[in-house]
Amino acid sequence: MIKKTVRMKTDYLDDYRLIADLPALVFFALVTVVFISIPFLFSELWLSVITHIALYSIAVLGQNLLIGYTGLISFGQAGFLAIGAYTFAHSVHILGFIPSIFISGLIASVFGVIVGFPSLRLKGPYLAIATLGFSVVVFQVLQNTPAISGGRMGLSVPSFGSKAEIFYLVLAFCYLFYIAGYKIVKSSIGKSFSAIRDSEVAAETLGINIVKMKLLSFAISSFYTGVAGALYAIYMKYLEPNMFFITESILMFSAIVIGGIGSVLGSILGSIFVIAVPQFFVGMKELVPIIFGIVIVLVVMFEPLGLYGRWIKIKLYFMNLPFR
Amino acid sequence: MLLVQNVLLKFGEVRALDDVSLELKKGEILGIIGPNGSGKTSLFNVINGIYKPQSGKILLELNGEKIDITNTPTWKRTRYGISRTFQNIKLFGTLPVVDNIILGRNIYSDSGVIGVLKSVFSMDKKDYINNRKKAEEIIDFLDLKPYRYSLARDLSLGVRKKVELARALAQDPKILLLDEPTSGLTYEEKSEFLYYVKEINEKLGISIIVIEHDVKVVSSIANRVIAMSFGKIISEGTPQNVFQDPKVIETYIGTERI
Repeated sequence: MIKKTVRMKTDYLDDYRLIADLPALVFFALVTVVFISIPFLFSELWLSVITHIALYSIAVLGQNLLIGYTGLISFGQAGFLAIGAYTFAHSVHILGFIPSIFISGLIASVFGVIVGFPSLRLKGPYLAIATLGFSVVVFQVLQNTPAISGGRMGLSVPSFGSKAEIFYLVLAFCYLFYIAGYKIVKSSIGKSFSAIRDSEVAAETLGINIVKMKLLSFAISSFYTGVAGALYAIYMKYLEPNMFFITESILMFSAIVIGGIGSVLGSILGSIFVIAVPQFFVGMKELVPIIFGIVIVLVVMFEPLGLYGRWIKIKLYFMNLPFR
Repeated sequence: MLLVQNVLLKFGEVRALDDVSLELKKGEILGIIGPNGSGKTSLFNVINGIYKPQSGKILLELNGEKIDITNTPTWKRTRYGISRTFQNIKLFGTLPVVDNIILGRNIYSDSGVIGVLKSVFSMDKKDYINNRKKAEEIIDFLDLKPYRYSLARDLSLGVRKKVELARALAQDPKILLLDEPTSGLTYEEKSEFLYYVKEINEKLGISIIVIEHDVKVVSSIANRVIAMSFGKIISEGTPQNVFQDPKVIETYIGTERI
């Protein structure tokens, strides 16, 4: 028996919509229900791990737009995360919670544009080193400026609410930023980003302003990362410069590589891997870098699209099930 | 339509283009021939703005007024109606064919922060439908329907060349620069491609400059031919005259040694 599982495309808008058909809508609704019921299903420990994954995935998506879609390898993530977190910690007393989350994103994106200027000249590994320098600078400034970082005491952030409340806040932002991310990727802006990655010369002859688009990509990605930083501050309730050491950049980069370079869903999968795996090895913390290293090598060798590529293959297998 | 005046392009001491002047008239097909390294593609890159000439001017004649575009950046020249294809095809390999063609329409949709906000709030729906309709027209015209959703990097050379032509056409250009459009194609594919070029020129009224090595191809489509050698224009005129010019024969075959 052959069932017609997917609706055929009958309209140009079918390529534009995020949710293509009824089964996808049902799936989306079910996933949302599961997400909303997470605080009732999991213990406090795992709830906080899931919250961490959710806020981390916002930053990973932002950086994936930059690294995966525009093809600009950057290690400035820790810096942007720190800028977002500290901007939030200082502005929350004046502006309140929700506005200062967006302000943190905006400040981070201003820094993103400034850091983006070298990207107009530098390519590949050279840009990676320049942005790595930015992360180091932010870290050093924070460590040596007690006025911003609160000195040895660290900086405490006012409590937003219970763990479940924080989770729902993060979840709401996650939905907002993932839908926006999907929309951007599907729009002409997102396609221009991919065009720059694939061939800069051809993109320019098509009328894409490379300078503007690269800076825009930096601005969007650091906005995402800044917002994630603000949510991180809410989640941790406490900030100190050591949380934003350059290893944080490398961790986020490995989340992108493992999850899938240039895929929105892969950003979630990558952050699940990067945040959840250390939780399983709490007793053997020394093993975590080794596991990450091995997994990255395996991903690069056998599955360049990362966990997302695996997911696509599994999905295709079940879609074509009777014929396999 | 397009005037190139006394252009000099030097790389160090190599004169890639040496005092090159040419005019493209409205509605004509201009062929450029010449041996490898004679500066044909450099000429395209100068017209296109990828290289900046050391001296000389590039003028564009639009609606009766002349615009100096010598210092205009490449992405802005596209908005004046110059589009091109490349010798070593430069498609966006990771995107499907239809997205490649829609990208050719990106000058007609918003870019920058406004574009981002529009796409986030689904306000670019109309733009998408318009661009898609235009893209589908071109897909119909160039017979690319079977390849609509396949990735550009997976296609064969002949199809990739057609996709690149489609992408250039999607911009609604006034001047089309074709860099060796038929190299590497079979005889049948060549004649099909020439049919398209002729139709683009006649029905859409687009002026075309075409670089080509195949004499048969040039003589069957070009109204006028320019022959180049070592960055200089050595002959100009109708295809028959240029191919019989002793200077052209000398550059290609050489002279008799006495």
